Amino acid sequence: MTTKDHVVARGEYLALIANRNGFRDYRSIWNDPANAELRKLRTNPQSLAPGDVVRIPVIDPGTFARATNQTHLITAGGGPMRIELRLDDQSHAPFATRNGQLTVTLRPNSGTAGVAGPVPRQTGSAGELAANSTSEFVDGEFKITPLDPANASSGATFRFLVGELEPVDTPRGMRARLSNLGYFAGASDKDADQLEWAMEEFQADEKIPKAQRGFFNGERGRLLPTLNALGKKHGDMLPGEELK
Amino acid sequence: MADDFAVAPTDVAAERNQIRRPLKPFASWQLDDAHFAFDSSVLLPSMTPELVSLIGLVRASPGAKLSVFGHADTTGNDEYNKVLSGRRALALFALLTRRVDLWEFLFTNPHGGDDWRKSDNFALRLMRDAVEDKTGALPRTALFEKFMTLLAKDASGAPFGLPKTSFLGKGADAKGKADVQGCGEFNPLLMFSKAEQQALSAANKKTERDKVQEVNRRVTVFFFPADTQVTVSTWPCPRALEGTTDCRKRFWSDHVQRRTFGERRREQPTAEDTFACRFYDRLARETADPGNIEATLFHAAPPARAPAPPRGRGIRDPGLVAAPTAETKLIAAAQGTRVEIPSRAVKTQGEDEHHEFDLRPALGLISLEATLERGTVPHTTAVGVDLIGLLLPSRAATVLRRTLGFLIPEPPTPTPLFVPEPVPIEFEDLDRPFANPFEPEGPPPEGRDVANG
Repeated sequence: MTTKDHVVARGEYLALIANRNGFRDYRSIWNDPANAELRKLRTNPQSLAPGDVVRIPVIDPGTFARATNQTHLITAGGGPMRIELRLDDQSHAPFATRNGQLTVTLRPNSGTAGVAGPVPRQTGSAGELAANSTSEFVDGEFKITPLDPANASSGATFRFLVGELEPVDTPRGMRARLSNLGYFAGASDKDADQLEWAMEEFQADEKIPKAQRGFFNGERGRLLPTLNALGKKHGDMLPGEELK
Repeated sequence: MADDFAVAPTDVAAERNQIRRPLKPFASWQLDDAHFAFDSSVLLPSMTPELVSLIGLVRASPGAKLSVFGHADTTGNDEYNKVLSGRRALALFALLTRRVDLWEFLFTNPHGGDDWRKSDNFALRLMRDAVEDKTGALPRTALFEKFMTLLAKDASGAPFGLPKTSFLGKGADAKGKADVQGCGEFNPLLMFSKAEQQALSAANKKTERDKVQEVNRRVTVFFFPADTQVTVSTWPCPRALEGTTDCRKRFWSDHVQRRTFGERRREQPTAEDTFACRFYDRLARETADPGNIEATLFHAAPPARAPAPPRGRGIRDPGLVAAPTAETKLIAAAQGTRVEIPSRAVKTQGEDEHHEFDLRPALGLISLEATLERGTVPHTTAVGVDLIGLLLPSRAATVLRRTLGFLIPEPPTPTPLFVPEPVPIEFEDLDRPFANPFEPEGPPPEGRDVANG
């Protein structure tokens, strides 16, 4: 089967690329033999790096032979994507069962992005918050209602940028995950020092053995325990998905 | 305050994005060595004008949580300096919270040279002079109280004090964990060169050495947002009078090098490697580091009639595009005062223009909003938090020249981010998994024929 190449741009994730190329299920692309190399390189298809090449198979229109004069149900694979967040405060305690307002920017399959919400939502007992949609997620905001109405600043606002989470073994991916976990990993890509310091803080907090600490010294292998710990702590890497 | 977090979507069970609010001070305030009696934790009346800017900041940020950090110079041993810096921090904390009992503790428990009773009770004599208790009739606690009233007052002379809930640990720990601590000599602003250290270590150079080291002896107060939550039991800093064990757990891996006098003199903020404690380093860097401020992108307020958009995902808001360089000035305003600061240097990085302002004229001005004027187009932008941090530098002597990064709006009217035409997106989207559009409503018919399976 022939494929065409798609070079990943910043902010793109596979479900979005699949959607734009007429696939309901990103797995049809991800599991295609043409993408074996990409699968080896990246553990999470929704966390790709700009410049990654995705081979997009030419769509094979499904054909089914069914009797006429009857009702048949055809179920397509794939489904909606979710944004799954766990929200913690500075003391690492979850924002448990807190009310707030969720707003997301969605882009329908064909159309301009628009804002949905705000809708009232409550976080779960571990600070969970999820949003489902078949449309492309662009970004969003969850504004936690202050417990004390007299003190407007006792709430919190989380803005999330969907598709900006790059692979954990890239500088941007490290920085994003460290920032999400409350480390100060620098305000911009240029701030390599700050990223290095945040890495060390994370390594110390996670009790990574001293011999396995370090940063971008060409020894990726030595850093793997840190990267895998970071991916798992952040939660976008599941056990069994570790980098090797 | 809102923070941006990059996340990945998922359709896999158990995958998530763990998001934690960062512990991020928005401003700092500093009390210099000169406002303590020499080599002691006794505060001097000269600190009152300094306190006015702290009071201004407290009043401009209701509910803000404070945490006090004392610092010693690099002369002497670690353990001694840790407690000394803790005592200075406690003395200020006691003043801010009107805790006479803490001063009483400092008085009755001397620590080496920090003895309030030395030289015939110099502390009491100093205080009696200040409050004009000529006969010496006031009992000690009453004297402390009166001296505190003299020191802690705002510009109009009204007395000032803070409840314990204004501090980060909210007084949950009786000995002030997370509220007040000393860093000892672990986080100096200035590290001598090896040569300087050698030259100044001679006994007859003590005065000179003490003078140069003055910059390191300071008490810093960090301001955290009102909703900051910390767990006192896991707060990394030891209590003010405790030893250095817990400090050392937070040292950078290269702390030995950081704490060694090198070939050249190192000075914050140009040298970034003088703090041994990574926890303190982060807090200080977040408020005072010019590199951090440079990276701040200031956004225009969204157009009034359009819905407030969440900030663009790393892309530029269409209403905010770079325009050719024109005269740009920063206008800081507060309580009827307005200061115009012209841009004195411009550099361009990609689409961003970086302007450099000399902020000294705005020193002391607490502003919650600043306007950036470009030609005749005012561009109101919420820079308040950053400005407060900027305007209260970690040292009064620091030249307040910082680089601000921002995006310039294209005149005349910013285009709305989103097309006003309603987009058919249902709120239910967010509340339940999307119904499979291929599946008819209602329960599936009996004996359904499922393709692909």
